[in-house]
Amino acid sequence: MSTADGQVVASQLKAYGELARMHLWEYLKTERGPQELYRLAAEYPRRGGRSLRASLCIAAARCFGASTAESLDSAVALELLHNGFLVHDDIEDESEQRRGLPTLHLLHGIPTALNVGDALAVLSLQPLLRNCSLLGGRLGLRILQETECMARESVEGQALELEWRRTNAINLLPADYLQMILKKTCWYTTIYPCRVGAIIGTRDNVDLDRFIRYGFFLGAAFQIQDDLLNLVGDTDRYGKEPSGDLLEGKRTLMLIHLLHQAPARELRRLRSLLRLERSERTPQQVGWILDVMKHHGSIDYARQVAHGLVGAATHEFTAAFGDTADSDARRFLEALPSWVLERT
Amino acid sequence: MTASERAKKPRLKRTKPIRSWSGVFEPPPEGASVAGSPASGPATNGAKAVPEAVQLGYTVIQDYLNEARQEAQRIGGTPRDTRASAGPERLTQRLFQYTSDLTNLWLEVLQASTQRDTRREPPRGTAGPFVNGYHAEPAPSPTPAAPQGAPVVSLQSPSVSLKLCTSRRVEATIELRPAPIVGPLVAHELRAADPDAPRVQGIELEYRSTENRVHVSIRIPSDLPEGVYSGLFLDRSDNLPRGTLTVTVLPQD
Amino acid sequence: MKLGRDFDLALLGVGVGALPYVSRQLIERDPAWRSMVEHSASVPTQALQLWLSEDFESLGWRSGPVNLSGFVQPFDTWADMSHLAPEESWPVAPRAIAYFCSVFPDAPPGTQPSTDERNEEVFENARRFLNRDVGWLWPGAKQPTGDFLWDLLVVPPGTPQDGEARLRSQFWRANVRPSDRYTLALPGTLQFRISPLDPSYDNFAVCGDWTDCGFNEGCVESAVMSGRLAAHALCGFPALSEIVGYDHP
Repeated sequence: MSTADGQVVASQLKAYGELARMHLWEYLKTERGPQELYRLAAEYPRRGGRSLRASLCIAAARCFGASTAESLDSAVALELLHNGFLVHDDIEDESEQRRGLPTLHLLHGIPTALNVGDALAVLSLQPLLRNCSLLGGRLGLRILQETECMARESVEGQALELEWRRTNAINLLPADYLQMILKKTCWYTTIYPCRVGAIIGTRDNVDLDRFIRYGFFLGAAFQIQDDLLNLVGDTDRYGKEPSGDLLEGKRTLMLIHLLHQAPARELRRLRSLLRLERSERTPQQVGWILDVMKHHGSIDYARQVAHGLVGAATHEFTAAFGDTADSDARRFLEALPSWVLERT
Repeated sequence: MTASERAKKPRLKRTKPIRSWSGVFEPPPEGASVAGSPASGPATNGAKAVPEAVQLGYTVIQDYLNEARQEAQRIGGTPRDTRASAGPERLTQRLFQYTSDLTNLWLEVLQASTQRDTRREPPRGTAGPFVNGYHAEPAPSPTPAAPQGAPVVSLQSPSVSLKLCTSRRVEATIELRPAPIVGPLVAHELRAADPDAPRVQGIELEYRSTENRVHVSIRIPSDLPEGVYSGLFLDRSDNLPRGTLTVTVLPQD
Repeated sequence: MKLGRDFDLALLGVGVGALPYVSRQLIERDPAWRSMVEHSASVPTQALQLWLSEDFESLGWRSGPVNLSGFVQPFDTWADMSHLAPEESWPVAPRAIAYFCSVFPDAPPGTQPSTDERNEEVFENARRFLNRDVGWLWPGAKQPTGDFLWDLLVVPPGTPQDGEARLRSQFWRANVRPSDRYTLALPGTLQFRISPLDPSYDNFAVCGDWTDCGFNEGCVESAVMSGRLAAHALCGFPALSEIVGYDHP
């Protein structure tokens, strides 16, 4: 990735992110209702985050000629929903850290955290409804339809992953992984923001399927890289507990690769470790899994898959955005696939 | 006959060709692991991982799109419509859409009519443009951003700087017309009413867009007879007048 | 025809030029089908086949069996089909079979010649071509006058035996009907083709050299591949790996 590309991504993420965050606070401050609820709802957004999803939405809209103001509500709705998902994900995964600090349910208990996650999801409706007056009823309704579709895909994807853990699935294939993250991650991280941005920019006059491919390859590479960072990333910058995914028994591409590559003896031990509850798995056991992953090339394999998907995303960028004029927004979207591999 | 009763094509394991080297020397048995197909395990060879990942990705996303289309078709959408839209819901949506569009259009018409400039476009010609309407000054508006390389056009009346070189007593008047200046400007000779009277020549005019200011420099010969001398100055961009220069040479004391 | 009573599965195997006529409802209803038809293209062609009593080497062609193109209009493509002679039921097999073809210009606007009239046009083209041009390929096929040596043509018993009249017993044809037109593979259009394996309809498949079949050119090889893919789509046989040319790097 060229330095110039990296700078484009960094500067646009910063600019769009700041705009989205400032606008997001408008929906989190209220003088009515239990103040504690809104204080906790602001907890995860306050801890930072790249605002990648909001930035994608704003950039896609700008690419197709819309102003930032026209897409800001949709971007903020997504960020609110995303933070709600994070709160619930942390409970489901029994995670201990989020953005460098203890998870919400560890600090305040599961019942409160569940309700905070619900509140963030409900709060995301406000900016979506505001779209109806800002963009007109027709576009507002279209974006709501897209949101319903995205939310349904996301919960279905999460359901798949939870089911794998519940049943201790060990015969998964890379295709299964990609199908799961298409639903769980890609739809709300990369596909939906591009589609909604394009709807706003073109007034719903563009075929939206082209963003599914671009969004899928970009989101899949993003998730694989995220999973890699969890195992081998810079612990200071990552924000979640290192190797937390192994503790949770999360079926990542690396684990799926290992399950296919490990010889019989190692496979037996691996299966027995995966059968344990999270609380029963020790750091030493997690360390052993990571060692055999490295030994059998599972980390390298996932890196190469991510590279391949980034290449495909770069190719699909042309199909998705090739007919838009040059702009900072377009350059940002074009440089994103490479940035996914370089981020830490 | 219901959908479940009638004959259907078998569900295919693969609907796309394989574009990799893996099947060249040993075609895989059908249904078994095909490199890069959904049924295959991860690549054992590092060099194969990248192309197989791409192929796998395309297979996964294409299968997903196909299923979405079939689902849309099943509940009444067109085969390529990935948005589910059943009959009554679709009609309601269309009704909402047209009503919303009509409302938006009406609002746009209202907005346009309240912002419309009710002054007529002044007629243009070699003697014009003439100002008619309610007042001579155009409403102040921000200078629009010009494309790179294009001249900056201000909509506000420019200021004037006058440099007069003369030993005579003169009064100079510059009248500017309410039209944007692009430039360059050129001044005609100043003439008196008497066609045989000498003319004031060599008037220098410059419009500086960054200042929105017209700089005028006139040299009056010391032997110029008293009287009123006037002439137009034009904008070369459209060769239309932008104003009048008048110099009155006063009697010598 | 009624689904379930008269048919269970449908296979559309017409030529690409016929699609707008036989698939109107699909075109109206399915954007992908509409795009495919809009981007498909075809041209009429003219074809001529001769059965000869001498082999090509005797006629002066020294470069062996050949498929060549880029010769001259109205028959710029020549394929040596002599290998088919034993497959045909001749009492005495011809020594050579020559197939010629080329694009056949559409009739001038405002005219609507019948198929018979267009066939006659091709016959005239064939006659002129043999007299004027084929001697460059087969120097030994010319009479001293320069005209074609009509006696070379093998005719069935009972057909006219003299001179140009022997040409009437050969094969010539104007491929002008919609389904007979030749499929073109124009740049930027292949992405709109639909595969015989396309699952959009659970009881319908397509085949033809205009489909997305892995060898997307107008030729019999493509048509065969497409047909085999359609068979796979309808019943799972043959296996895709057995369709030569479908999978390749």
